[in-house]
Amino acid sequence: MAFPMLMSNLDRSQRTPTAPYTWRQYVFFVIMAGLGLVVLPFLAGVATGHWELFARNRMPSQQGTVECLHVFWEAWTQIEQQFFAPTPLDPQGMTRGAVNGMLASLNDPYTLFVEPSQHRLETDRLEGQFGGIGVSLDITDKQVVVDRVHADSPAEQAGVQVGDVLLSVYGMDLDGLSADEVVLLIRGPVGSMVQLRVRRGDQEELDLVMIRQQIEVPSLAWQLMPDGIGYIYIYRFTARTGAEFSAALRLLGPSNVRALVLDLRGNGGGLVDGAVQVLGHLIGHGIAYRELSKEGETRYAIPFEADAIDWPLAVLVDGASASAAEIVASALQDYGRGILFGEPTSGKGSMQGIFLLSDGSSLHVTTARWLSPHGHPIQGVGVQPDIVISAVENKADADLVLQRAIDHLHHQAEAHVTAYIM
Amino acid sequence: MSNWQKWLTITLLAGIIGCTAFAMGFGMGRHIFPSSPSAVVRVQQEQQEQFQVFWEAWRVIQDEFYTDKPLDQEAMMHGAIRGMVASLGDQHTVFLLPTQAGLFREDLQGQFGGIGVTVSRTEDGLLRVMKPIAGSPADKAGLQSGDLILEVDGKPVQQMDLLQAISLIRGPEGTEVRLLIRRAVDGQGSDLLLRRAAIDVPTTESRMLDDRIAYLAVYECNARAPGEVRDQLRQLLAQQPQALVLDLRGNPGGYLYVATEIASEFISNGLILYERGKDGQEIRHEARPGGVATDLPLAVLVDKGSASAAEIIAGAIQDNERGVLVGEPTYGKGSVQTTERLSDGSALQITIRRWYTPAGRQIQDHGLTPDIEVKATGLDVATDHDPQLERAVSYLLSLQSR
Repeated sequence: MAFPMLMSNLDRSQRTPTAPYTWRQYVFFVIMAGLGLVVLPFLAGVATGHWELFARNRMPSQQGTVECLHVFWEAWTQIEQQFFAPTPLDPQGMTRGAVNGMLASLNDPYTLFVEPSQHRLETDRLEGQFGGIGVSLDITDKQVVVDRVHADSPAEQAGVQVGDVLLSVYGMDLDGLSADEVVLLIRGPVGSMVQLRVRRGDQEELDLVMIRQQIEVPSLAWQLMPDGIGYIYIYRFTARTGAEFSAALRLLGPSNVRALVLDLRGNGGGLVDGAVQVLGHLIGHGIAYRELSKEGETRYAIPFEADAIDWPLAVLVDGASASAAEIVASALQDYGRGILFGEPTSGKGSMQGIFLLSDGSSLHVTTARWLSPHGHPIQGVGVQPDIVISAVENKADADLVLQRAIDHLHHQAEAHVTAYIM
Repeated sequence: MSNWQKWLTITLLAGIIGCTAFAMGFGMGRHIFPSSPSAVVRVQQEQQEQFQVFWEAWRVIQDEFYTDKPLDQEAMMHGAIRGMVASLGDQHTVFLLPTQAGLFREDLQGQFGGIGVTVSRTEDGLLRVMKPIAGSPADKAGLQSGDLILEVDGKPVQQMDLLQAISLIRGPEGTEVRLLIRRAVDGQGSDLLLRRAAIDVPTTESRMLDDRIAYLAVYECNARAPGEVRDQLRQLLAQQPQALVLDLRGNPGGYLYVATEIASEFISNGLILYERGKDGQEIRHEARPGGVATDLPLAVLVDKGSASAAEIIAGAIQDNERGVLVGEPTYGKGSVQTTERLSDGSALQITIRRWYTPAGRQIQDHGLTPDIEVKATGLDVATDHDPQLERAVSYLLSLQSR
């Protein structure tokens, strides 16, 4: 069969030796042109398109690829395809779980994931102010009871009373909400309205309407003690601490005060800026702390304050004084600016940045270690008081630590005056 | 048309045709063909938006996290899988690191380096010793049933999952492991140093008790169990027993097919269990014909340590009224898992179905309630006194005299 075909082919080409192309050659030419012009570019297009998509997907959200993460996606796929769940899978929960697990692998207790609602409360706390109505609530699983109504607050003006049981906020039932959720529901932008339904006594239910005001949470308290000793107790360092500290010094009255007790016991830290500003009022120059980060060592200056006080200073610390409180204590000690009384401090020598994520949650990430101005490490060591007084010695009713500090300042102040006269 | 015009036209036409073909192919390649042979890429595309937050977090850690050591991306990725799996809230869906996955496989093969003890998790996260193997390092060191393990090599067990704890206790033959334990007998703490040995997972044990009562214990439903059970039953039957005690106490389970195999030795026909998956489809497991002990009066010993496959056997015997359960309520694991290997040697154990007893009981969290409830106390264990076995025997003898 094949042989005769070949023969006839030879025959025809021999019959028209002068024609430029035979019809078979035309067919061949057209096919080749089709291949060259259509099929090959098409296939090249398919391949390029395919590769382009592949390459793009290997680079999720343009944030670079991580080779080993394909194992994570294998796991994710297996869970999606196989896991028997009583309720539908929650990809957001799984994503947050993955973030939590990834952070846990770093073995740093201070690097953690913060849910959106927690982040809002934390911001309020660090700012030291928020839009609210001025009540303290006692929140249990069963009910939300007004514990305290602050003077001149929107709540007081609207007639909220201690003991009122909160039933709903804006018609929204409080059953099943966590304490944080209840608090966040009541807080909101300054100037906005909030409607509360409360139960008073046995039967009476009242609807109360009020406008949220700026509620300021003081970060410190102060007091003028006998014999010209000023006392300032800083609970935590917030965005307001610098201004509050300055106001406290002014109100204590430079003419009345001979010496100052700075109480940092139980102060777990807060915003580093607040701590640095306090150092500005107490020292007024120099380095607040040294920071070791990925960029190397950075020295942070104490803001220059021409009228920084020079009163003799005693600083009270304990095992719960941490972080920003340790910055203040260690700087005052390094510069010989004050005598530290109490117990060794907590030893949290790391700093965290707060990074907001796109869904409103946030991360606390340890971004640096810090050292005292003279380079003493704090992490795991803490600050050693000059005069150690253990918690066992220090009976709560007597406050031996404060007493020792005051005795010391009396002595100092006398020496100071004597020196001055001479 | 001059010659060059002709050629220009042809070239332009060819160019247009070629470009169009390329564009069509490009579109085709992007949209019509599957994006990639691997499911991995497809998932990334679908989940990308929801998963944005993870990338942001990953980036923040890469850029900002301060640490003395370089970041270990593999550990971060494994942590992410562990956290993702933990968010599912199912204690039986777990991630196994490559080493743990290896141990897991060893376990089902039936031999590994260890101390020779079965453990279970207590409610407060400690490990309770269930059954030291005779002659094992644990047995020689004086570990007893009911003792609590608090720390392994100085690490508190409360901070790890059960598999992590087990993988820490196990290790190459000849190496040492330090355990901090609290004795069941007197509550005293004790620090033990044990040298690991090759442990053959004891699968079955049998003997004849007094009054021609046969006794068969199945410790684990591993791949060796069906053959061993059948052999042991044949040996026991050769001694003409009048009844049988099947001991499933402390049996943590194993393969599902092993459970149906073993149950089939006692149940001649009928349902052993059925499973239901996420699509709602039922998978029924009937008794395999040809069981060797389908008529012998039967009592089954169970306790809190009887779980999973052991509960399948006990539930099938109870629902088919083939025998009575004696002892304490069982563990209550009514789910079925599959183990999927991931490409780096790690593995996922995933809950894929629920199982139900022949009568349709779901035992998750409840466990099986014994027909005759008999509690074992720490004192019984210490004095080698077995009230559950005694009660089972007296029940079987009472059948005979009736």
